[in-house]
Amino acid sequence: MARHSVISGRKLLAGAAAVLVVAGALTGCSGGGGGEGGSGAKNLVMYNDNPQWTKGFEAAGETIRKEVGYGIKAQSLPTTENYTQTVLAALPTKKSGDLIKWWSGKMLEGLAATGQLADLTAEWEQAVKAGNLNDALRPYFSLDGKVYALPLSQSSWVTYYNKSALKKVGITETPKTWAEYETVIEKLGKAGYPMCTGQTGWETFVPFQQIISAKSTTLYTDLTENKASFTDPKIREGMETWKRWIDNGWVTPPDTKSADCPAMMAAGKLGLMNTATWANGFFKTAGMTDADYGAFLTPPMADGDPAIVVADTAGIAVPKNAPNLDAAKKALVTWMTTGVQQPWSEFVGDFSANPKVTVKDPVLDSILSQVKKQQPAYVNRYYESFPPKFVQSSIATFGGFIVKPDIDATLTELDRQAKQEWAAWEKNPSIG
Amino acid sequence: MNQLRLGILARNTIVIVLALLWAVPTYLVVVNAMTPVASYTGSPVWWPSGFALFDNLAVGWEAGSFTAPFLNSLLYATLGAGIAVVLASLAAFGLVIMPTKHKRLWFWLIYAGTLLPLQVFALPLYQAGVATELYDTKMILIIVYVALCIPFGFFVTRNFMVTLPPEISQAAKIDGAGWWQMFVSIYLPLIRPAMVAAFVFQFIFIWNELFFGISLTISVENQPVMAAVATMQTQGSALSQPAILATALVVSLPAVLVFLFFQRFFVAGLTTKI
Amino acid sequence: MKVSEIERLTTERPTTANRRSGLRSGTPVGHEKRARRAAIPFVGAALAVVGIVLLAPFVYTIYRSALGNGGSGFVGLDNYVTMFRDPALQRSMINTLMWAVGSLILPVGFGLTIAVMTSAMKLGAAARALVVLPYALAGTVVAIVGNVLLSTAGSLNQALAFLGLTDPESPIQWLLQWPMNVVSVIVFAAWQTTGVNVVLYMVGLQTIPRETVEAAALDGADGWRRFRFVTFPQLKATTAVVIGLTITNALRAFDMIWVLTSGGPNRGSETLALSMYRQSFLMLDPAVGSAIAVVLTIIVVACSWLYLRRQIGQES
Repeated sequence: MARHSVISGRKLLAGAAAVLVVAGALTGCSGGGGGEGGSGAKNLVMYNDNPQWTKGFEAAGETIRKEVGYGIKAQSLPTTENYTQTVLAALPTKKSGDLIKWWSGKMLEGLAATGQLADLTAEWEQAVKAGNLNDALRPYFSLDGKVYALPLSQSSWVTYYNKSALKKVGITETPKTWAEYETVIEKLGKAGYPMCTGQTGWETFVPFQQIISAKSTTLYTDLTENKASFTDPKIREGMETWKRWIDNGWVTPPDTKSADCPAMMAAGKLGLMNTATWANGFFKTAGMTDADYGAFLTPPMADGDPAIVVADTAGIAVPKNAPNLDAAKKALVTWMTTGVQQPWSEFVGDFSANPKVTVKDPVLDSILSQVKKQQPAYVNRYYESFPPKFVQSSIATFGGFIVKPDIDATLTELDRQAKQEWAAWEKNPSIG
Repeated sequence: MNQLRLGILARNTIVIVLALLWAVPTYLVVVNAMTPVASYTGSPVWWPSGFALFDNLAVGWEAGSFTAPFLNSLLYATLGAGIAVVLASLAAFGLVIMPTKHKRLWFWLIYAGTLLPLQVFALPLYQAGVATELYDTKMILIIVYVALCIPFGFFVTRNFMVTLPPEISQAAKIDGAGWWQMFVSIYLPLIRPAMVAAFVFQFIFIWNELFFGISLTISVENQPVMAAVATMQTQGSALSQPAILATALVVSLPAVLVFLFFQRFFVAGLTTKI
Repeated sequence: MKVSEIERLTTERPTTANRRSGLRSGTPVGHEKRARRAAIPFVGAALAVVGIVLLAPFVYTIYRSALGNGGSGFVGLDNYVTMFRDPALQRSMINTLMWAVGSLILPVGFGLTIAVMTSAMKLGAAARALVVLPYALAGTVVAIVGNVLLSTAGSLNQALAFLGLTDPESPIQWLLQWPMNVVSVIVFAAWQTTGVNVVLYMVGLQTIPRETVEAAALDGADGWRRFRFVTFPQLKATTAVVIGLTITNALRAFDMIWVLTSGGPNRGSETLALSMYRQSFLMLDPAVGSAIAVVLTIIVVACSWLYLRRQIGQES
């Protein structure tokens, strides 16, 4: 055993004590964070799970400050699961924040049912009257006739495609019918340009969402209202289409991460990616321009039906316990004005719920023209359309299907989950 | 004689093979962290195709606003691991050397800290944090990290102390030493290897910790460095793998350096043929 | 006390008789009581911190596991019944046991082997550094390298195809098929956790007096026999630490599995730690989530108790 002098023990302790004293002083000086900005600048605390948007929120806050007297201090958590838990735990306390970024649809209903959110119906109507808000979105933000959030932005689901790959397989026009779409998938798949899919993460429902809504928007909507069952033969037909894509190898391997897909497309290893317009910026960061990638709307399966766009909106809600309740409500009305929405939508690279906002990005612009021309039907995203617990459990089931496309087992399981979770939802929708 | 040389050859071969096996994934990380973003195809590479480590790092570092969290983690890891190891050694001394009753009970109570899945603590600690106004402060993270690190330090120093001959304390008491003096002058130097090993590993644990960091704090002023890494990743594929990898790798450096620096304290010159 | 005295005492091999006699023989009662009271601040500080921060929330969790969701009050053992009936959670329990076994063999076995073999080697420190380094890497890095290696389009399959060991058209799906995905993650986790055990065994090797090993060498015992009959028995206390820590960390392993498979596909590679997280954080169901946490803790306590009770008993 090595020699140790008796003195070193005392030296060790003295050194440790010194470190502790200094560190303790440092800790005391810089206590907590919080909503207080610098010298007296008043801010509304906004909780969100998008740290990459902090600059955008705070820029919007400066415009809002001119109207309302309060800016925005964005406080974010990088993981969605922790964010959800923190908000649920925070709402009944003093630390509820002034503005909460949350989902729309049933996720919002579940939160509103906890009774912790402020009623924003008046603010919604104010924004609509000023022409700053598309009133068609109201059902996605309401519970029992009252509005509980205003939209953060308004995304649409489209299919992004690799322009040079499409040219290589000899296709000159983007598909307008479902038959043309399947031809595109087959030709691209056979030439080594698969469609993005994966079993990890939340996106496992994406093919289901696209196929079923293309088959029949009525069927899709009925499913989301518990008026149709997963054992419906039309659903089975949809699953068979999906299975065909998987069995033929026209989709990426099951452990692909969707975060890698834009880079794969840029490298010429991917042909198609069905995702929302909030992902538009990812393609640009991967190094592509509108000469390399484009987007088209999902064609319908039945001739004569309109194209389908899956709507994807998030919202901003106000807790009942908000320390600056009135200012927060007023801030949301200002949030919807063009003065805030135009720079915000350019920052985030997506569409706004304010119909007066113009779009600068060429790919987004092309999507807008296609929408104007084809007048598509809208459905709401799968994630917001079902009871949250069912969404989570079905995500896992779809993940299993992607690895092993067993239609019977999958549909039986989905049906079982749906029955269980719809029953629980009807009894008590609150998620808190 | 030949048998001996053969034995040494066998041993050396096994060690080299194992060391290389262990090095392979680390090598892959470094190579892929060096890949320029422009050459990234969505699949990993075995050979470096460029040297863009610092470019990637710059991109990632800016995306995650790392400065404050980096300093925060230095504070949390040093204080958390340091205080925990001291408290743990005191407890080990109290249970092994001093005549305490119910030694088994106290051992299991302290050791139980390592038996519980971490996620269990998130909600109760959050609520306690809000109630005591400690939520989103540095203090709450330090307290929680100290608590999380005590059981490991306790277990390691206790089992080390148990191997020390009891004659030491007997002789000390005959000399008239008090308990505190005995601890500081005699036992502390003796258990230094165990304490330093415990400190190093708990430093690394706290440095790499994410879950409590984002459950108990929300402001950038208080979050640890791994929260900044996670923030960087929320850019989605806006920030591709090489940038994320390069930044995460550089952020791991302090933990690596702490290990390399302190290891001489617990692997001091063994020349015995074991 | 003189330094030379300490040295003499620490290099003499303690006999079991010495160990057992300890401090109890011949001490007057009054002194003992005072001594016991003196021990309170020593043990009490650590106990208080652990008790308030870790044990109290756990007691709360036990209480929570007997309640329903959304303020529905006491439900007794319902949450546990739900848990044991759920096929996904049954699979999760099987996976947890796989982790308990698999994580003992690899990290402990390799830890001991590497510590012992490199302890007297030139450049042994370099080999050890390579083995311990992975533990110091950030979780994000480990996750990425795990995916880089093990995904279907990953480096391992690239290497195997290059060496001609597999058909490039049908790569092995390391992370997608049960039970292989569980085994893959266990083996990969060993890459990271073996380093801790190497260091702990190095610390332990220092407690072995030089003379005992040299005496055996003089008696003509070769490397293996010296290890088996002299070194290893004196590492019992260290092995207790290594196994105790490895079991608890393996059973609570979360990050590694979460980032490699998310517990999938279709929850097939979940362990109870993941199931607990999923239930509480994703399904927003703290009732069954708490029940899972309690069951997991019982399993961890049982495994630790089985191995450690003899160890702790011997020394007290």
